[in-house]
Amino acid sequence: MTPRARLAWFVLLVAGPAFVVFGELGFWLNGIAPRETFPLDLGVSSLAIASGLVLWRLRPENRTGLLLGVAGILWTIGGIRAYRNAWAFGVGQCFDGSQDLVLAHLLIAYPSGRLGHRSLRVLVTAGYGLFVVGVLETITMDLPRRVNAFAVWHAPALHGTLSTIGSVGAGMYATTGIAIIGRRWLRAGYSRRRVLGPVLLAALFFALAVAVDEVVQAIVGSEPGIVFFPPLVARLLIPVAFLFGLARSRLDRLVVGDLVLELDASGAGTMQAALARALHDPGLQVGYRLDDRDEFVDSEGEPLVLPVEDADHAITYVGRGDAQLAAIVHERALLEQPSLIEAVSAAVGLALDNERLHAQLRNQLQVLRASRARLVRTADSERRRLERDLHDGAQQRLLALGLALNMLRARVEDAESAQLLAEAEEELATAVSELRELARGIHPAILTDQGLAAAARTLASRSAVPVEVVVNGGRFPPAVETAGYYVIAEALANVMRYAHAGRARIEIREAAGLALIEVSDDGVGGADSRRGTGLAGLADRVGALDGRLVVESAAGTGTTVRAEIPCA
Amino acid sequence: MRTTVLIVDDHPSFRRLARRLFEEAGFTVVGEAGDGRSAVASVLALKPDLVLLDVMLPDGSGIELADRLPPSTAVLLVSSRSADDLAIGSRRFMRKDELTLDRLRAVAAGAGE
Repeated sequence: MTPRARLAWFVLLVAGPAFVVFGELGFWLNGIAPRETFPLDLGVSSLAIASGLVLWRLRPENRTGLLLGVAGILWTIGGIRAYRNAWAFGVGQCFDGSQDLVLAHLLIAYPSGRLGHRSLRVLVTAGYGLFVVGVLETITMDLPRRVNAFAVWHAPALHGTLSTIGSVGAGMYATTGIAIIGRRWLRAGYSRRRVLGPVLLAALFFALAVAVDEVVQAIVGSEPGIVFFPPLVARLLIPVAFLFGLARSRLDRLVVGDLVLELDASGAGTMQAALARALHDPGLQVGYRLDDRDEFVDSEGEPLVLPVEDADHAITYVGRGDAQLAAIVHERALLEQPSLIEAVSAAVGLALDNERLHAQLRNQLQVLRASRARLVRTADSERRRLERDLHDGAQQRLLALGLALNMLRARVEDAESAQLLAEAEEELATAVSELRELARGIHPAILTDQGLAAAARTLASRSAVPVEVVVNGGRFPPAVETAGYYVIAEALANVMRYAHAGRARIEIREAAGLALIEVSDDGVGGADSRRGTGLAGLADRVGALDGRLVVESAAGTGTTVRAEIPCA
Repeated sequence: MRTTVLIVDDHPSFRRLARRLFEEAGFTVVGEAGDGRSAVASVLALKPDLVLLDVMLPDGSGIELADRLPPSTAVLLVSSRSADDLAIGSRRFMRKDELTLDRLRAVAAGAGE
């Protein structure tokens, strides 16, 4: 609070009660208003001034408290017309109802206390124009100057017109206020609605009450002794709502302690949900900054692109010293409770750093996994290309050479030459056969052309042990089929080498987004995936696709090798 | 009457040598095609007795193409790969390195009888 603001606050602190006593007591004792409304009158002014003082003190940068206090003072000024003095009557009459204009101003400006948009400033300025209408009404009243010192222009007709203008204007102002409040409510997110809720509800009631009051007065006129209670009650509710909002904000800060305990108990990965609960913003997101990089990740380590701040969302960066640890993306409305965000940020500092380290680790793990999967995919792709090159290049040339030699041999009549050519053909056939086996070893063409099921049947047909093939499902992604093929090939090779099995079984199926590739036998069991590089290499290949390789091989119960690979 | 043959393979050197081999074995080569689409057009236009059909064509599988050809047309699937690697099923198949003059002469003699 600046020294000037502090002085103004003290003035309000001293002047407020004085105005209440002076205005309200006079209002009541001199019997202008019915006595039954006195408690409400007193309540409205006292509560408005008191709430204004509290709010102004706690949030000096926000004009809400100042406006509320001024509204309370103006409410009491209306009461001084009760003193049987022509000047007091004139002043009181001029200010009668002016407190509603200030209340409307602060409700339209809530919660920031500032009007912001130009159209709102024009609206509120026009609203204050109604005060001028009220002054003109006082000047043109048909009363002698000994009663109303301001009645310098006796013009009953003009007074009536001004009175109608005032009523219609107030009604229109209240209606526009309702529309603005309704629109603001509809456009607000959860967190903002929580802040706006109580005050906007009271404001809505107030605007409706004033509008109805003005309509009633316009139709039946104001008669002494008849009081329309809703506007009074509504005016009383406004400061109550402001105090309620303040109390709720204070209670929210008390929850910060629970938040720290909750984070201690729940461990990593729960920060975002805990903050969302503490700050009452279900859509809140936490981005953790990676070391030495201007990049953020979520708690799972997934890259997170921070949204651009707009009318609905804002970003609060949380740091320790100069180091920026995290960014909290939240509803812009939370900026209206800076102390809450600061308290939460400070309380979760250590846990946030821990969570950030976890997120960073997960991110590194993901980068590593992606890199491993890329390596496997690249290697597979290279093997496919190599096999294709062998097939289209060297193999075709050797085959053409074989056809040419075969035809040449048929034309040679010399037996020795024919024998030489036959030997050359034989050598060539061996070369072609070896090349074919080499190409198959590099990458089985049937896998690309026909899929894993067909490739598995081919492997089964070459096995010395009878193999049953059970397939349930269609084709899988190429990387999954390739990994599955090598699992089957290696497992069948092991069956033939070590298992002493009578039969084996290959099962390929899909379940719950997983490709399940299983090779089982009825052999001696006792296989150890940690020994040798065959199964261990397969486990790496399957792991690169985020899958896992399970080997069950208790002695005497056969062996089951099962690959579970995500394929969705 | 000599058996008519259509040779379908995407390698020109193989088509050239296969044409000579078949002709020397006693067949009449009525045409050549380098892909599945022109193969179908040639079969419909030339109505060959036999189609020598490569399993791997640039625009698709020779096995699938064989199933789409008219039943009156005999098809001999060929590939540099072995039958194990191709899921040939019960279709007639020969590895390319098994295509020899002696074998083709035997086939031609059988067809002529």
